[in-house]
Amino acid sequence: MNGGQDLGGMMGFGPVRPEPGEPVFHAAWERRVFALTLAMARPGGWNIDQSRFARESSIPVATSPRAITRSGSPWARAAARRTGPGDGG
Amino acid sequence: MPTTGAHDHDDHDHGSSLSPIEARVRALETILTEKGYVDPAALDRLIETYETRIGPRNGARVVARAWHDPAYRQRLLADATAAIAELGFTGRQGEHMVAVANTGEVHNLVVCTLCSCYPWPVLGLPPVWYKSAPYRSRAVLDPRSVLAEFGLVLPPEKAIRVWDSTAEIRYLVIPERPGGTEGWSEERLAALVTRDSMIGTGLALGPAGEP
Repeated sequence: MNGGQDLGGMMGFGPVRPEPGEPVFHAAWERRVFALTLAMARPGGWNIDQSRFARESSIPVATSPRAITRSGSPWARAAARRTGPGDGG
Repeated sequence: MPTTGAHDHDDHDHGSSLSPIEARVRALETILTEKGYVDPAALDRLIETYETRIGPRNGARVVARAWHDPAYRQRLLADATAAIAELGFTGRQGEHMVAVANTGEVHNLVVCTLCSCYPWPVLGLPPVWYKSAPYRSRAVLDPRSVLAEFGLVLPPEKAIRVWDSTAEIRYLVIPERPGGTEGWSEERLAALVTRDSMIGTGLALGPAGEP
């Protein structure tokens, strides 16, 4: 379980930056990715373990905090998973 | 108000004005719709639900009831999933709930070091900072300094207990009830319960609404 997703105790990411008055979504496309992700759980084609594996595989190996930080927002990764090659969905 | 439907984006019919991520998401929705997997109207409903109905005000009602009703508090601590369902809050990402109560001696803090597990039915969708690498890495390593970044400085003698969510279990912190609220109604109490106080990165507001 020590893949790139396993951040507990890792150093080097800097401070937490809370956003006062943060909206639920920051862009219209984030709303659509969220809803598509939820909706596509219904027709399925994968189980929760496959889904988790895909999620964790979309994060770079934790060679450095910078590599993870540069991998982009969770919503962008969710969209990429659903359009990338080899996606079981 | 922001638009939600793919059909009512400001820039429709002008694909070249879309950013790469917007174009990608638009294409994804289009192909899934054409294949009959999703209905854009259903997507709108999902978005509306999580932007307006499922959020931290639900959790605030749970906490306020626990403050107000000792028997409910006991049920919540014994079986949070069932106690939260009494108020009608059930569903995805809340199937296995655990409530942890702050006391004079112990402060609880919730994190998901592996991803972004969060109790949707009572808190809604997680904020960006909760999903961020700095929070996930340091909440378990140095929680006291993480809390300080939220403006919360706890006395050194107060223990901090950090709960790392699993694939199934979702945690809800019951903050300490503020002094000076004796005899208050549940509704009035609920207004003092902030989202962050139910994650553990904050405290409940004081009786005058002060942090």
